[in-house]
Amino acid sequence: MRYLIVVILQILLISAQAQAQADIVVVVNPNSKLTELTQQQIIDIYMGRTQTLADGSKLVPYDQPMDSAIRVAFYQSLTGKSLASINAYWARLLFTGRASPPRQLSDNMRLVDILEKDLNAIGYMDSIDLNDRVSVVFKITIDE
Amino acid sequence: MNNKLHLRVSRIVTLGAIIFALIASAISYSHTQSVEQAAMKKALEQLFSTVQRSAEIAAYLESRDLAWEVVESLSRNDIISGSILTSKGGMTVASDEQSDYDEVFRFPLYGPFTPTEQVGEVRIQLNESLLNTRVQKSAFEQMLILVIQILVIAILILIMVLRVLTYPIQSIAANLHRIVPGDDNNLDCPKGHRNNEIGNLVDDINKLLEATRATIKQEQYLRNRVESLEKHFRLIFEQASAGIFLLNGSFRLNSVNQAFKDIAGIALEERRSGKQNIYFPDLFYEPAVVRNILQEVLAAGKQTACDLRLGNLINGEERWVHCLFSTARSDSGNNLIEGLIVDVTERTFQMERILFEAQHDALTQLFNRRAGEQLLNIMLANARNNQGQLAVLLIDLDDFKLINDTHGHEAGDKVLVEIARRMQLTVRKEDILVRMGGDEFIITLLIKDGNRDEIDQVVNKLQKQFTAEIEVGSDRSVTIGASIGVALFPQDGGDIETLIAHADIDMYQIKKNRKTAYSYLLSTQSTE
Repeated sequence: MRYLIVVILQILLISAQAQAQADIVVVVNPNSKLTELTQQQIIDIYMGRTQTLADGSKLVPYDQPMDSAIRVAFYQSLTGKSLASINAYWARLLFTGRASPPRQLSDNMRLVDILEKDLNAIGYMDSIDLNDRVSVVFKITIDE
Repeated sequence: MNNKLHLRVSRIVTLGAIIFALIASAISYSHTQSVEQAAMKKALEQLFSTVQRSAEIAAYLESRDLAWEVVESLSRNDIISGSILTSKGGMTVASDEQSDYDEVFRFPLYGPFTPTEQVGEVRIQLNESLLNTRVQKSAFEQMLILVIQILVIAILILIMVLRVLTYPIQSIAANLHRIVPGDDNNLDCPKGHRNNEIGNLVDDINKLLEATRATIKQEQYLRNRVESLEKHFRLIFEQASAGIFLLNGSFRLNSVNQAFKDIAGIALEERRSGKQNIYFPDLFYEPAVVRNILQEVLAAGKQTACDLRLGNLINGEERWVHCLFSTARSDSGNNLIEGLIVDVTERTFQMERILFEAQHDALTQLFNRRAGEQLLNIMLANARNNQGQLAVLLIDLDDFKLINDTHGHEAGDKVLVEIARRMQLTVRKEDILVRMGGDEFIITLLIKDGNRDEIDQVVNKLQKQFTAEIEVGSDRSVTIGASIGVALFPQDGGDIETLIAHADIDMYQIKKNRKTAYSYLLSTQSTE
C-alpha cells in the first residue's frame, strides 16, 4: 500500500514536470505533403473522420501507449474530453467498420522510426524529444 | 297537471347536465389532446436523448451502419412512425421509403468533439394514429368520469328538489285545491318547512284565505242587506195603494206599479194597442193641460200636485186622480219625471156633494140662504167694481100656507119643488136663484142701465110660470100666485140687507094691492 502511494505520487510528479516543461507536437515525415494542420483537422484524423488525404493517399495516425501521460494530455487538450470518453467512443464504433482507432505504439516502438518509414504516418510527441527526422505540422501548447 | 313540477325540474336538470357534459367533454378533449401531445413530445425527446450520442457520431463519421442502427432503434418505438438521419456530408439514412413527413420533430446533431459544428440532423415523425388513439381514449375516459359525476349530481339534485321543494309544494297545492273559498279550513304546513320559504308561503296563503273569508262574509252580509232592502222597496213599490210611475223626458211611461195599472188600468188597456210607451197625457181627459203641467214641472224642477180627470173610459165613468209630479235624474243624467197618482173619484164626488149640500136647499136644490148671500155679495162686489147694475127680485108665494093646510106638507113640498124648477128654467145662467127660506125666493139679475122694462119682462115671465097648474097628488092640482118685490142696485141700496129690505117693502105693497086682483083671478079661474 505504502508502495502504491509512492508510485502514484511519482507518476503525478513526472507528469506535472512534463506538462510544466513541454508542449505536444504533431509530427509527420519531413517528406510528407502535409506541412501544417488545424486543430479541427487533427481531431478529424484522430477520431476517424478523415482517413485519406485529398490525393487519395491513406493517413495512418499513431497513438502513444495506453495510459501514457502524453496520450492523456493530448486528447484532453485536443478534444477537451477524458481518455475514457475517447475509449468509449471507439468502443461504440467497434463493429461498424466505418472507422478504426489510431494504431497504438508499443513501449519498445519509437515513433520517429515509424514516421521515417511511412510517409502517410502521423503521430504526436513531447516537444522536448523533437529532432530533424520529423517535421511538426501542429503544436499544442500545454499551459497548466 | 301533465306538466308536473318534478318532471319539469328533472328535464331541465338532465338537459343542463347533458349540455354541461358535452361542453366539458369538448374542453376536456382539446385539453387532453394538448396534454398528450406534450407528453409524447417529451417522450420523444427522452427517446432521442438515448440515441443522441450515436446519432452524432454517425453523422460525424458519415457512418451508414451507425446511422441505420440509430434510425432503426428509434423506429422500434411505437410512438414513432418513422425517422431520418441526415449528415452534413450528404448521407441520408431513413427508416422507410417515405422521406417526407408532415408532423416532424427535428433534432440537430453536433460534432461529438466539436460542439459548435452541426454535423447533421435527425427528423422524427410521430405516430399520429397512436397519438389520436391515445388522446381519444384518454378523453373518453375523462368524459365518462365527467358524465358519471354529472349524472350523480343531477340525480342528487333531483332527489333533493323532489324532497325539499316538489313534494311540499305538491301537498300544499293539493290541499289548496280542496279548499273552497269561504269555508273555515286552513292549510297545514308540511313537516320541517315551518321556518323556511315554504312555511312563509303557507302562512301567507292562510292569511289570504282568512282575508278572503272575511271579505266573503262581509259581501254575503251586504248582499243579504241589499236583497232585503230591495225586497222592501219592491214591496213598497208594488204593494203601494198609490200608483207610482216614471216618465221619460218626452212624457212617455217608463215604468209603473200595479196600483197605477189598477187606477189607470182601463185607460192603459185602451191605449196599449200597438204603442210601446204610452204617452202619459193621453191617459187624461184634457191631454193638453197635462202636457203643460208636465212641461212646467220639467222646466221649474219643483214638485207639483193637482187633481186631474182621466180620459174617457169605455164605460163612460168619470174618474179623478190626484197627481204628484216631481223631477228625477236618471243614472245617465237625463231628466225624468216621477209621480204618484191616487184615485180621488170617490172623494171628489163626495166633496162635491158635501159642497152642494152645504150650498143648496135640500128640497128644491136651489142655493140656500147662506150660499145665496155669499153669491150676492160677490155679485155686488163685481157690480160695484164694474159700475154694473143689479136687480134683486124678492119672490113670495101667495097663500102657500093655505096649500100646506089644505093638501098637506107633502103637497106643499111638491109645489115648492115645481116652482123652483120653473123659475130655474126662466132665469139666465148667470142669474142667481136662492131659496131664502119657506116660500121666499130671491133672484138677482144683472141688468143694463136701470131699464125698468127689462125687469118687468122677467117679472112677467115668472108670473106666467106661476099661473100654470101644479100637480100635487093623484088627480089633484093647484095653482099658486106669487108677489115679486124689486130693488135695484145701486139706486135702492148698497148692501144686501138694504136691498132685500127695499124689495120686501116693494113686495108687500104689491101683495096688498094684489089681494083683490088675486081674489079676482081665483074667482075667474074657478068660474071658467
